[in-house]
Amino acid sequence: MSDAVLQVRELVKHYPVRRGLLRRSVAAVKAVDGVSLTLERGRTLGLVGESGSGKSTLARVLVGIETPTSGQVLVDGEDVSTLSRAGRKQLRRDVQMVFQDPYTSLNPRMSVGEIVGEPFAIHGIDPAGGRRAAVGELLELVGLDPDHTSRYPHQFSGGQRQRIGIARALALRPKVLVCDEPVSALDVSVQGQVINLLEDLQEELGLSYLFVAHDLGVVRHIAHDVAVMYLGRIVEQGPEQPVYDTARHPYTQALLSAVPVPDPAVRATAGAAAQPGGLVLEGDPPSPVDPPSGCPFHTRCWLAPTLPEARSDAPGSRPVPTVCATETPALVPHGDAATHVAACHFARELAAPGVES
Amino acid sequence: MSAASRMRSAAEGEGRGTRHSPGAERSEGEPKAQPLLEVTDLVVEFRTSDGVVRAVDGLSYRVEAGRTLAIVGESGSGKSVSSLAVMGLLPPTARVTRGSAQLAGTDLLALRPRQHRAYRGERVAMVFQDALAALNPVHTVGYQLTEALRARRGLSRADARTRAIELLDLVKVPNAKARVKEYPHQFSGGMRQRVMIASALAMDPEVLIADEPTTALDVTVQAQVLHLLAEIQAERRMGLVLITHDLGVVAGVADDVTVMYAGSAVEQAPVGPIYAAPAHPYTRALLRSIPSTAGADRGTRRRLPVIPGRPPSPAARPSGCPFHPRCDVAQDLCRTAVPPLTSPAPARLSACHFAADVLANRPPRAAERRDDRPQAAETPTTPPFDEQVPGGDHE
Amino acid sequence: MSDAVNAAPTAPRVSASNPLAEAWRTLRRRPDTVIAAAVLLFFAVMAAFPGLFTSTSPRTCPIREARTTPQGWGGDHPLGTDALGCDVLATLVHGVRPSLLLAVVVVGVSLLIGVTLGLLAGFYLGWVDYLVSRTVEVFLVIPLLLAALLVLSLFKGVDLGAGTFNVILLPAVVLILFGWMPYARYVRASTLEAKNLDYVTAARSLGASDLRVMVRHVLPNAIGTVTALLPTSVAGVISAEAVLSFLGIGVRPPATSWGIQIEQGSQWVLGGAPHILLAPLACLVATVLALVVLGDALRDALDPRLAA
Repeated sequence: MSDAVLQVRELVKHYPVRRGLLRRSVAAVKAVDGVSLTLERGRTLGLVGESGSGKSTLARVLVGIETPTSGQVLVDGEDVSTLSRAGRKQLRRDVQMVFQDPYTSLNPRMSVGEIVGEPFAIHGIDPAGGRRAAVGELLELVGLDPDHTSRYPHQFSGGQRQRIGIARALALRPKVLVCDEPVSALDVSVQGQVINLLEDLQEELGLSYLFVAHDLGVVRHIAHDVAVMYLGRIVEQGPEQPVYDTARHPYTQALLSAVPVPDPAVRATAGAAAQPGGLVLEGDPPSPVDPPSGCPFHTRCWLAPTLPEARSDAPGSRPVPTVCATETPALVPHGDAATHVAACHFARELAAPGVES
Repeated sequence: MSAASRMRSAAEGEGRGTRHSPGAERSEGEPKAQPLLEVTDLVVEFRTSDGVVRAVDGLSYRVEAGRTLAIVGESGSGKSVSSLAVMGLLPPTARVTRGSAQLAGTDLLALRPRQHRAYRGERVAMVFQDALAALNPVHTVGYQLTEALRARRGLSRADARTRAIELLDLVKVPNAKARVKEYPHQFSGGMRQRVMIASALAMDPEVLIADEPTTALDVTVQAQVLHLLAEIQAERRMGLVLITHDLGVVAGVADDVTVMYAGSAVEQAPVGPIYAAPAHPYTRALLRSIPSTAGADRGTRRRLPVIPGRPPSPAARPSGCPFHPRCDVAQDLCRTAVPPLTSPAPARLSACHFAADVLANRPPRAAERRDDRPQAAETPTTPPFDEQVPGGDHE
Repeated sequence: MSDAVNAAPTAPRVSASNPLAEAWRTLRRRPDTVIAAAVLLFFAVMAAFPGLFTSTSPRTCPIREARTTPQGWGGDHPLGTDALGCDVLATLVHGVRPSLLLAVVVVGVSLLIGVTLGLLAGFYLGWVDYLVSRTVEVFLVIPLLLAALLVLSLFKGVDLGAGTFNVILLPAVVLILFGWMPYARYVRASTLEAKNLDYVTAARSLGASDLRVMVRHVLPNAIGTVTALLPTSVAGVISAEAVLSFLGIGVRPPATSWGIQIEQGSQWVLGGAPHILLAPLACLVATVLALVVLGDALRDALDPRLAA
């Protein structure tokens, strides 16, 4: 194994659903249900999935806002959960977060100087040259005017606010930045600026990113490796190129084909309007309180009913192979790269590139 | 000069003979289709503490039966405000100060609020981005679908129920019979947006305005909803106005495109040509800045081409061409003169002084066409204002 | 994507200076604020130096001069006399100090208790919230008068002295005991809202302590709703005190207060002497309105988003 800066092992996060007078826990929202990941130093791991896939919960566990139900989080090889309180606080400095919404992630009553300088205040750090100078340097690093420390967040545009958020996350010189949809709230023309900034910072500071996003185009651009989540589990993972070009999981393929391509020619060749590639999934993702048995995707899978093994349990129900409904598929290598893994019983059926348009 | 007259003079004055309306992508000789909705020279102003602000500045477009017009723009471009004006749903601080919106011979903008209401829903309906906020949590979905029908058409309870089920079937909500009795919170995001579409369709409108209808949805669900919209539109020959910021969505469903920037249309054209060869630097830059899933930049991670700076606030628009501070081909002329919508090619309109050059993808040769300018301006001035300083004051 | 509707008012501004100086500039630009400040200053001076406003003692009450109508400036009784013949102006002037002091003490202490409990309850939830919420409900259910009687019997025969502060001690205790609940409820509700905001999460992800998160991030953005409550609470306290004085635990005679005056005056509104009521009532209304205006202005001035 090479240089892993952040490792996640069998991470589980369940939220109890409480009911009744005694607030007894009657069920659990299985937000993250056994996820293992490795983020290597200086690289970017893209984490994609739809709402409810657990990608944001995972991000929050990693920065310590939520405590995991079980599993391990290792920062530089050290298990966070076994550390003392002080040790955790120290370690927490190594993993910082960039938030999605630049309008709500900055306290409107604090000046930019206070916001960016708050990490120093919290950890009682006095950087060489004083906090003021350090804040100015951070602002400069993210491309803002260091003289603007006394301004308030509302005086900045969305893109600038996101830069302030990044400066705050960088104050403690973290090793890992967890970016939770950092550009999805920004205008298209501003998104690129922030993405380029993140890439520059990575190069300059040797940062590692866990980049959580639903925009597959942005993830392809910035990420070295990609993990696809569905209902709290990783269904496919691997280097960016094989995952996008030769996706092995039917969900990944559906996700890729659902991304609107900014090219009207694609529509023309595909025939039906709004249906390029032809993989439109039925229905919505199921609730993580009661995920389907077996493969969590089998209730929406477009591949399963087309397989010769497919059979219908009850008249009228979707025909799927029995194994999909009963056994949870493991992440096993498929395709050329050993690091490219997918959790599908029938991934072999997908060996032929079906998505490349 | 108003935008509409600009448009006209552009089309005629350039001596190209025929008038090119955006979306006139049909065979020669076919009689010109009567537009369902024609917005001309719309100006909407807001009263704010900083004075009067123009959110929409001379916007014109037309929607024809069975066609989809996409209005694309970033925040502050006025794309939503313009449709709220057509719907008569502007907030009290806003006023339409000029322009018309002709719907089958009636100018919607000249109507009094009471009369306008009669058109709303019946002839023009609107679907909003946030379906959860647009539905009332304390009434059943069935009740909300048919509220207007019962009030305006006097449907009985039983008839209304039947109609509600029909509508839910129409938007492919499974098990419609049972679901009419449920409340909005029992529906998922995608299903709620379907309900919204169903309620907009309740009175069989001729024009449907959809304001970012899929922005809040996941991609797989977005694909379903877009598919549904396209299907229903084709079936009913409805005019559809799709307001969005997502050029991917536009490419998938639109017939015609209007690109808005800082309150006015900067480019109008049928969807194919506009993606193949944009005639405005803004459209071109926007298209370039989208990271693709197809991996055109595979292998080496190239920097994403970006538009420097940020969209201007409606309260502080740059002089001349509003895009000039961010434009990669801006010339001296752009700082002072507002470019009219001109037609650099058949069926194309672009509000750029150098539209023809941009269309041909060659560097602008200043002045020539704007006859009265001296030869000196021929050498392009370098660089465009905004050096690529990330952020700073320009953004 | 928001559009011009939202985007319009956020034009970037260049001015950047000390927020207090900016707050003061904002205050000055609003004439209603200046008037409100003047009104409050006027009553404050009156409380500090009653001798400046009247030379008559509120305790000389010749019964034969009872219910004299107002005589205007220059007369013996500019605002007339009350049912017992006491000078209305003198009573009014000497009643300012206990009335305002009581209001400030009661509202201040209730606010402190309410905000602290509400913040803790909303932030930690669980058993803390359970305890606070149930306590709030219990106190809301017990009738004020019943509790007042209880306190009265507890303090029966205890000599509290005659200083201004001693005079208001009993009503203050009773009113605080039954006045903190609304603050706790409001603060709890807005804490619940504020604590899930991204910037609060951001502070926690940086490793900020609970106290820091509460004081720096949650409270400043949760307190807004409560400040709107304050001016009317002041009025509430002043009139509630009048009720308490009926029971003998209000401001004790010979000291006097606006509450007592209003209570007494209300009996003569239809009896041909409305001035006994109107004079103190006008003062109370003026004070409350001034506080409302000033409170609004202060809130706007301290909010960087509104400071223009």
